[in-house]
Amino acid sequence: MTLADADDALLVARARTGDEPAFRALVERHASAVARTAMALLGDGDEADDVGQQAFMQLHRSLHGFRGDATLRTYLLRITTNLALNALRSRRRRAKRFLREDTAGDTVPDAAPGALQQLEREELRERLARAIAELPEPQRLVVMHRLVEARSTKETAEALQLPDGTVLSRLSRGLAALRRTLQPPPATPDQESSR
Amino acid sequence: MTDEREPEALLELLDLHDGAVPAAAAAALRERLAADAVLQEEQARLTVLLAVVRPPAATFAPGFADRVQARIAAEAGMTATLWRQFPRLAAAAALVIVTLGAGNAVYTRDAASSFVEAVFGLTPVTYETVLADDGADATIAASAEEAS
Repeated sequence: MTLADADDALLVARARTGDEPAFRALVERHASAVARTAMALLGDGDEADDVGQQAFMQLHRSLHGFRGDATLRTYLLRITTNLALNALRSRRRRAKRFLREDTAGDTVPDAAPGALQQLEREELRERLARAIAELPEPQRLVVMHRLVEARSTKETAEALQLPDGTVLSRLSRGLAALRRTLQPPPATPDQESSR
Repeated sequence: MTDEREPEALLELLDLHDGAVPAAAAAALRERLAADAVLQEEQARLTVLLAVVRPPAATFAPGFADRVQARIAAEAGMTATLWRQFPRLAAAAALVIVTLGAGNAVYTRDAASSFVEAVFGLTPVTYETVLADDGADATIAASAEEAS
């Protein structure tokens, strides 16, 4: 049997003994799931790559403690989501600092139209990421599996070891919360009066 | 402004988007969609949401596994170096402490201080020195007097 055919439990057991090719096989198997999660929350820049690397480093450090209660993919998705949300928080802090410095210096550059569209998309991603961060973890895990990972309801239920009905109710609540972030924010009185 | 549809509608639209609805049910849902502006708006919103959370080319740049292994190796190397250096650092720190302690014991010990106080460079503390150094207020002085 090759490493590619071995199941996660066997690879984890071998990686625990210091078998580097076994750990590498785990990385190669789950990199795309980790990438989807990191990029859904952070976009496709270097930050997502860094979060992906950190997620696997954290897995490597906790191999001995991994009991296999959740599937490895669920465990990785949880780590990646938490790391990505932390990265988002630091990004927001940096952005706020930058904005303060920029405003003080009065050097706001003109944005090109393409850049503006990109900015709007990034803002939307940030809003959604924030909404995902605010979901209770059970709902967040379902949302990450079903929406981000695009797994079916049945696969999500299997991965999270939940009944289908529970997946559907958590998904429905999570989806409704995310949907609300797509509502345009209510107009402020200033905006109303300028119309 | 739109009214919100029941959550089941969102789930149905999601399944439709993912091709997870059987053909007959999908056709019925499409018919409903064609006749329902609110449902159409929900679908548009869901499409935007999925476009953002499901990036089309969500893969890491080539060499990702190499980068992970390089960082793990670097981290392991750093930990190993720290462990290797630890006995030497600990011995050096102990030597510094012993030298300073011996210096204190030899050069700064006076008759009033014990050997331990001298090693750690502690000056003997009495009520008098405390009151004299800190200019303590009358309350403390009074209570000291009372105690004596």
